[in-house]
Amino acid sequence: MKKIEAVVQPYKTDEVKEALKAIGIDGMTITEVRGHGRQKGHKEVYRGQEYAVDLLPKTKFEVVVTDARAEEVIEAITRAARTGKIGDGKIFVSDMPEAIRIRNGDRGDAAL
Amino acid sequence: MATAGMRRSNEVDSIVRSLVPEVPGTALIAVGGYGREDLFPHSDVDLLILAEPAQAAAFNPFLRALWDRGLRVSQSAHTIGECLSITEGNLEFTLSLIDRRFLAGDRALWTQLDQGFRKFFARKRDDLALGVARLTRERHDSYQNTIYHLEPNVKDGPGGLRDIHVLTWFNALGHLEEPAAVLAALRQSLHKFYGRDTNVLNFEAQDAVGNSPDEVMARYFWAARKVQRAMTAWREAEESRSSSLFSRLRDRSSAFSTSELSVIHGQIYLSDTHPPDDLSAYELVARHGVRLSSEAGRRMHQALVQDPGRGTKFQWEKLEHILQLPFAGLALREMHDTGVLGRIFPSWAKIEGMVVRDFYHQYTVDEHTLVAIETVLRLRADAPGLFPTLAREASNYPLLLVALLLHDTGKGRGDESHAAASVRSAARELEKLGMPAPAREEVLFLIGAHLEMSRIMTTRDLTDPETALSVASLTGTKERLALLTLMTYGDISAVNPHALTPWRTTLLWQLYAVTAELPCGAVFPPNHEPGVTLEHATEHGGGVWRLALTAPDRPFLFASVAGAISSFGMDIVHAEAVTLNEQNAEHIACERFTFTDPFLTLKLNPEETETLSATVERAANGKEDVARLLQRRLRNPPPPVAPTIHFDREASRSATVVTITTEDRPALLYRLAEAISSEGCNIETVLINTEGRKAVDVFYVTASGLKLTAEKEEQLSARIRSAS
Repeated sequence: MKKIEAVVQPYKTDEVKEALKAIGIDGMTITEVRGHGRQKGHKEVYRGQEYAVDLLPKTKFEVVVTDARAEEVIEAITRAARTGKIGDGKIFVSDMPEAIRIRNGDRGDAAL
Repeated sequence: MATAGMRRSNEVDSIVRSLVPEVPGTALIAVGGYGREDLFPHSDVDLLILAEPAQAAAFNPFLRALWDRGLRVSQSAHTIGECLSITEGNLEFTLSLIDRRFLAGDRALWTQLDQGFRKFFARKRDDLALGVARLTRERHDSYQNTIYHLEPNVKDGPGGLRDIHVLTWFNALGHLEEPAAVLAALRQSLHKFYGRDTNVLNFEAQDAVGNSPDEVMARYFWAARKVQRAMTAWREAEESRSSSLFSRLRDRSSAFSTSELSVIHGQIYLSDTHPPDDLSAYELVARHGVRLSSEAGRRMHQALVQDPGRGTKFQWEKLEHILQLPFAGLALREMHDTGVLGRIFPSWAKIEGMVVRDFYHQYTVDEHTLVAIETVLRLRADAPGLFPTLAREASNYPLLLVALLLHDTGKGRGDESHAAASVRSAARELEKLGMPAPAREEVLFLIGAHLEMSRIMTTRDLTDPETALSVASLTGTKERLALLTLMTYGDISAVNPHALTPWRTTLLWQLYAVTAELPCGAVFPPNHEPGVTLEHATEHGGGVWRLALTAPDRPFLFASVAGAISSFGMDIVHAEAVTLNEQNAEHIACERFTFTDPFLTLKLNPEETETLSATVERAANGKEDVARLLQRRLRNPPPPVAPTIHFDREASRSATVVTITTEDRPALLYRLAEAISSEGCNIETVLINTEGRKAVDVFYVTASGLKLTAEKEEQLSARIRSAS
């Protein structure tokens, strides 16, 4: 199994969700997160007040799928979240050794 | 007639008495709810074992037997001496002894405790009351001090059964038998429905325990409101009693008294002749943060009920005055409690105690509204920060408060959007109140648009100029933008205590900032007065000129202005332009140009700045032949490098984005803009940058209001190539 974490622009949330549903991924965790990428933070001045914009709002998707489906999911997220501009976000993929359905104890692929 | 609580208590009594062991020199006492003979089906059974520590162990088999019978026993073993002292941190134990009842054992020991505690309570009454007042305040704080939760706790919440116990202990219950019975019946039903000690009247239970959830909640709010009022009056009286004699003699609040109203210990009392439609008592609340005494509140409420016609005399000037004062939020709360608010705004009366079920709102509609108002008022007093500064600088706060007050009054009226329904009733009521038309228009705008910013900030790209533009066209003026931003802040905050996360705060601020800083942001024109401003500025170590223009939009406008500037030999390094859709369908263009003056024309001939401004203005109005002005400068050889032209149909929702990269040359911007306009295209937005000799010009272009067709792109591309 693979865990796919995607950090995308907030306004792309619905599009990414729909894209995942369209390829049959119904289970996902969506979190409102803040963070920054390689550009780091910067300070902006608004009417004499300095304020830090070091943490930008993003939306994080977490999806765990069978190895076979991982590429398809990555492609769906990329297509939906891409604008070509800085700040589109990133996708991280990791191996997921185990998954358990709490209700009945199903394990592995059967728990997804 | 025995209540359900009493019957249950009697049942438990017979079980306890049948099992209790005989241990000489000890007694078994019922305390707490069990001591009161008021047991709910799944409440704890509180027992006090009066015994020396060595004797207590003899009761263990008895306690186990009670557990085995399914009773949730909560026992403690103490000596009489321990019972007659207040132990730090265990005030609850002392309080539980107020409701004590002999069950079994040594009667002499019981009498000793009973009489001892009576004396102890008489001696320590004030200390105990103050301790209870503090505990109550903490408990209410954990429920945000409001009874108006969508899923209230009927025991521990404000106005709940716990408050009734407290009032009973200190003989302050008054005539609350009926509300007490309502709350007790609700708790009984909850225990029966869930089969455990659950006191939260949640949605599921609301459906199950009465005829309809609306009826259940109306009953609950009716009872809780009465109890909460009595509780607040008692608590405040106890707390003011505890303040030193010196400060009591110098009750500073009494200085706030007027001929009609007297203020004693922070509470307002009415004279006998006080008329019900006089808002001056609320003005006193708003000015000093004092409250109506419960007697005054009751009288004002009754006066309204008995005199239904007089509410029509309320005037906007008076209300506006109240809304400008520092404690306006508290005044609105008092007006809500006495029913005046519902009299001034009949639509408000319809949302009192209204439950709209969803996954995120925590309060009833009226409470949500009052919390939102208090939030934006608090912002003004908060430490410096982005939103507090915006709040402090905002003009017309009373209009924002009225808009918030009425923003959700259209809820529960069927399928129509509630914002539109709220606007309709507010229009009627504000006119009747005598609010002047311009102010009314502002309020109705805010109500109608109150959902827009929170929708846009999560569904649109905040870095796309079009997003800012759509908000700018919506709001029109910077004042409205600020008020709508603050309104959104208050509205989101009041959904539940955790709704306005840093995540949302950042998004809302970004949306405000990108809109406020639009090209014409610096001169976000009040009322969009047409005109030209020209100023000199120091930038990047050298001097540049900035020209801002507002004019009715027309074909070739941008090209004409760019051409007029270039005709003076100026070198445009940066340009931005947007078109705003006014509500009356007129289109207003705002343009800003930054240019250098390579030949020092303006520096050496200051009078030329006037000429340039006048020429630009004539060009903007179509009264100048720009092509003729530029004749000499247009005779330049074509650039050695062909321009690259890129069309993007996806980047923007409504326009094709045309990016042209080419070598900079005199009047380039005029040529490009002229080419686009000649092709019958409309320039919606322009962003121009010059880096060295390379110009990157981005035009948001439409043809007949739509994105360009492939064919149109071809034609435009050809025309731009020949022009540049």
